[in-house]
Amino acid sequence: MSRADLSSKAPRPSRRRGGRIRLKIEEQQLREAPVSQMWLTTIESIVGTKSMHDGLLAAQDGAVRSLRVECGVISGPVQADAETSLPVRIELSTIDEAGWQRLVEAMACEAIWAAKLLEGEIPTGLGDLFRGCGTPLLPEPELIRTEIERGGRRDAWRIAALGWIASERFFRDPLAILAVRGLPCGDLVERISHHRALRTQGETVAHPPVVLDPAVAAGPPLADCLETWWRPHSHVHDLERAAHASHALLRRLGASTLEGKFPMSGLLATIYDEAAAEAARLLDAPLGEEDASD
Amino acid sequence: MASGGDPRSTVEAPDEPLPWHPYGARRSEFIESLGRAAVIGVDGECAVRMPRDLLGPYPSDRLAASVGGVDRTGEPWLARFRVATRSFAPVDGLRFLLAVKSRDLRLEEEPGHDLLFWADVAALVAERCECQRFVPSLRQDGDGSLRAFWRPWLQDEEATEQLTMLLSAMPPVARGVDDDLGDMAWPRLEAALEAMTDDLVRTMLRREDFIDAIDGRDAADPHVLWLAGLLDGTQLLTLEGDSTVKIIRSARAWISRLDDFALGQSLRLRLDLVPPAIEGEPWSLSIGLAATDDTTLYVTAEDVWKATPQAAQLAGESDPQDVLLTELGRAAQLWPALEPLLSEAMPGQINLSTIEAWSLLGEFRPLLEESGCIVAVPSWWGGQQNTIGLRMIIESGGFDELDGPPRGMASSIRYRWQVAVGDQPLSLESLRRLRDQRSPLVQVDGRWIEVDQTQLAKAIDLLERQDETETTLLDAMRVASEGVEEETGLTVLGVEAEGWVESLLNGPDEGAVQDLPQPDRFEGMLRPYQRVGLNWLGFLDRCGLGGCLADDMGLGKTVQLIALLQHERANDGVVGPTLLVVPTSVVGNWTRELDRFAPELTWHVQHGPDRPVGEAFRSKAANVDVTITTYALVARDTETLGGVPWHRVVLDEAQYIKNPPTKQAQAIRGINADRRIALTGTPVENRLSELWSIMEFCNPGFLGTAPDFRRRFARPIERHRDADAASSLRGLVQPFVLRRLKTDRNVIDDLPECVETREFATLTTEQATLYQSVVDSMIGQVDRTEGIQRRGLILAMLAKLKQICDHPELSVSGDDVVVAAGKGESLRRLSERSGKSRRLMTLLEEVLATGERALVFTQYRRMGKLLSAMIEHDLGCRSLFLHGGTPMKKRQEMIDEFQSPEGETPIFVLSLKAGGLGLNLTAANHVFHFDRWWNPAVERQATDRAFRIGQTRTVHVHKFVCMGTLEERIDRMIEEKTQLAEQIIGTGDSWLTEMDTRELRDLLLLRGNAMEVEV
Repeated sequence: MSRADLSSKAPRPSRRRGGRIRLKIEEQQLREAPVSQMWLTTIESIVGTKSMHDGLLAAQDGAVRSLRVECGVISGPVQADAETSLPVRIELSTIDEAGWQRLVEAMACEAIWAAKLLEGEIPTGLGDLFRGCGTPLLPEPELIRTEIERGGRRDAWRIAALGWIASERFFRDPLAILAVRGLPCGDLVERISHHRALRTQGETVAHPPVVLDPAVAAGPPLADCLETWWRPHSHVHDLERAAHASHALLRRLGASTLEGKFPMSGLLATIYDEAAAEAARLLDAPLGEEDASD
Repeated sequence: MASGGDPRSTVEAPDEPLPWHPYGARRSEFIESLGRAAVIGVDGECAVRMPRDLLGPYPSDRLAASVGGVDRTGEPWLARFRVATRSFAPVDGLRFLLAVKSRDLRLEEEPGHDLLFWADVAALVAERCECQRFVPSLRQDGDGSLRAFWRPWLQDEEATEQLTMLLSAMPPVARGVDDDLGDMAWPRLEAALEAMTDDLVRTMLRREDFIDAIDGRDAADPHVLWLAGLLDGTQLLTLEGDSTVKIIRSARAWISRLDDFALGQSLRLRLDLVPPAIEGEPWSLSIGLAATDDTTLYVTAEDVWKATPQAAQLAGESDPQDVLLTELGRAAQLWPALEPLLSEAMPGQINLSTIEAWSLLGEFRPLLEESGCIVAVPSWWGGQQNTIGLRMIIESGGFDELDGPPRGMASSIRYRWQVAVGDQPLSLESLRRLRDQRSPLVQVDGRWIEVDQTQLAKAIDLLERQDETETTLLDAMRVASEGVEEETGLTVLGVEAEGWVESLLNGPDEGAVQDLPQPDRFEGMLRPYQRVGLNWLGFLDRCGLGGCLADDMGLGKTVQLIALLQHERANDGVVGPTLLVVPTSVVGNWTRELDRFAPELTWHVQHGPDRPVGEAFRSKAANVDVTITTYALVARDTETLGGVPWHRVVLDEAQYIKNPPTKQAQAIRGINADRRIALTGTPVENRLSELWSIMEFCNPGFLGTAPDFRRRFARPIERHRDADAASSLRGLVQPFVLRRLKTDRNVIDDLPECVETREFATLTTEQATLYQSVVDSMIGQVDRTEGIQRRGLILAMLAKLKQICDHPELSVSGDDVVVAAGKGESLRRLSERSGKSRRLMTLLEEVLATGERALVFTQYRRMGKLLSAMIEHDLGCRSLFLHGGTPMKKRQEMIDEFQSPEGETPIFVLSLKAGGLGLNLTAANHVFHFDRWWNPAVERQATDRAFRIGQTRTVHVHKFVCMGTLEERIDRMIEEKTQLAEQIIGTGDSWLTEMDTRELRDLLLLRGNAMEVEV
């Protein structure tokens, strides 16, 4: 099912009304959706059934003022009284680099993972795969820390309310859980693709591939060329060369996106000039000036 | 390989090494053939796949052609072999290939098609680097290692076109190496492009210690990391885990900015720059969208915003408003002057200052265009009529100034500079006004011109202290030819001259040179265009300048030179000796032509093992008008030839010195002489460096050094069809090269419809030995027999001798010539074994160079086969061969192909009997009679295949004769119309059988001039 299909069948999403988010999706639906269900189970084991129920009612009543879903943190202010609200945080441990590396390698083995993730879907068995790699999709409850500013034990329903609103977010965008766990879905897909390229092509490169007519790129089968083995199939003729502006590529590239501090563009400009001069020297006298005239 | 049975069914034993390819060069030959390039590599071997059949592996086409073809049996297949290799560092390979391409490196063998292909690839690499079309990149291999490297940028239309052309041309043998790259063409080409580009850039960076630039920098900085791999020799980057993916991902995102976003889109942004009607007012830049596949179809931004039907029609399925905004935003990133448009609700037009307009025209237009925009600028932009430049005004005296010893290029002349826009001179006052305007674009008399204020200031300075500069003609011409005046940086727009230099620059057709009468003692009549040639040669001689007479074959270069020799002797009294350097095969031609047209001129042929040396030679040379020697000897006899104060050196077939680095070419250029003339029908056969080599002989130093010439002219013209450079070169050499084509209006009227010439050839030693042995062995038998047996013996002997005169291979029994497989012996070129065939190849080369077509008649079918093979091997050209065994259907196909304007077989070999009658072959305007029938009527009938109704050009008939043999004596009899000749006509060879033995011996005897003497 694509994301488009999903959204067409889903109930209207929560909308902020006067600075509040109201839970619009039925509890049953939330408890059946894979990530939301996992999320709610985890939150319930932290706050208990009663608080969970109270939190549901509060969420439906618009007690949560806003929701922030970030790497390792889900937070938002939950209503305290008519005028004030208390900031609530649910902190989850993130998956470390080694864990992601295991996951990427495992997911690179089968095309289905990247394909489903690209479609915006949670692939069936994702939770099992995460568990199999020793990194569950959601951490154990004891690894989740909750915090309510100026709040106490009685405020657990607030955590549940935030949890219900977050579950609605996971219902609509189940892959958001990946970002919460440390790697946004796009980055994960890219890493999977990278590994898949390494597996299938033996390499992966930073430059784009050259697009050529496949028949030309392949050339005729060698077995069909035995009578013309030594001959060129056509002649190479010289082409009119368009005028190229100095440092044209470098100027089109603009500033590097690599987040480095070293002034790379300046050095590259010098390299382009020097390499161009070197190439011109080779073209004019490939064996050097002295050799050329002896 | 196992032996026995069908070799295809055998398998390679795992431990058994692959067999060496029998036609692969032995290591020593291979290394030798690489010439000077051989020193830079490492020996090795590799596995290749090559075609073979049941008889064995195929030799290369050229090797097969050099011995007249090979027998084949059954279907061929690919088999694996070993061949010797020499490995180069990629940049050394690049140098080697570029040297092959530029002919700087003289290889012992003609380079094969695959080597020439890789030389083209190398040129592409160097050119992409030269125009800064390369990028840094990263690669992670399967083992996880990350490498940084430099790679050619190949994602533009120009590169795609070049790559497609290269891939289409790639000879299959270039894919024959059995390695990891597999069979596909592109991976092999890409690997070569990448390796050579990376090593070219990296080698330079290492040599210049660029690595120092990141010394002490934060090693974790992604820029420093990447640069460390790019600047260092190892390429390897040390990264862990996600960092590798991150750096590749970031680099990919950065490099993707170079993607042509418009690629694949049907619409592109179009910018239209319109100058103001009145100077000082703003320039207008309007935007719009144009169709990618036809940029003349476009709509304005107004059409786009109003969603007119025109805009909708042009846009098709695209949303024109989205495209316009996206493309405008992208263009504004490249050229910030567009940014104000983005703040408008419906951007359509913007006013630009003159400086902004100038920056668009000069700096940003190419950048925007290669990013996919279309920039329409005023048509005058970039033309010479709209830029300030300099004209050189040369002042020289009248013809009187040339009296006295000629100084040639060292002649003193005076010149001054004139500042001009196009052909309109600008006064100092006008220039000062332009300077005061301080604008890069100004209007002068209603015409917009580009003004570089720095250059303008220098030009004013130049004029303010204008002095006439006295210099040599050589220096003045070189300064003018530089294209840019050194001091001001202004373009040199042209040269104007007065006096004798004006005559020189205008050339012979302007009638400025003195009209010389035909020399009294010239035996014949010079045609009008030949008189023009004589005048020109005489004028250059008077100036002491060298020249190249490059008339088409058949227009009489020889007689023009002979007339010049006579003219100077008639007018100047005592004249020093002339050294004539010719190919061995035309020595006889020259002696005959001298005897025929100028019998009073004395000559000496300096050739053979008994040739005089030292004082004896000096004395000999001083006492004859012309000393004839050969190209092969000049390099060996440099000292002997250098001991004579030559009045003139003449090169016939001057294309023999077309390869500048050869010792031969260098030795010839080193001969000391007051005057130099080059004769050639093909001053440029393949590359402009050939013209340089000839001009360097004629007027040393005139075109600068070879690398300088390549930079200024050869590369821009050959590789990029630079019209300005071509025009500049044409203007430069025009005074020194006289070339008339048979099709020139002035020439065609002077030519008869049919021109017949004798092509005299010598015998090679092999031919002469065979000839003599046949005469010696058979003449005795003839003497001892009588009647029919005697006549039969004589006819057999005549046939044998005629065949030997054609080619020694014909005296070998058997129908086919088979390559001696596996012997590994050096196979001599077929054409080199016969004086006639060598001469024929030279003449056919000229025919091909001028785009003409030829018929070659021979009596012998085997000779026809050999000729076809030679044409393919020596000239790289497929020919047709029609003989008695050619089926009727095939015969008509051949005729149609030859006659077709699109046909690719310009040479038609025919057996005289099969092709001498009934065919219409008017596409040819050259007819070669390789051997003689002794019956003019039969030969005429063959000639008439080309010389008949439908023929619109002069037909040139070349009749080959071996000097000093029976061929020459019979030819002379026919020419002199002797009584004997009357008997000959219509009787074939039978009259010869009636001769007595003494007459016969005299007829057949090998004369002293018959043989080409080995030196």
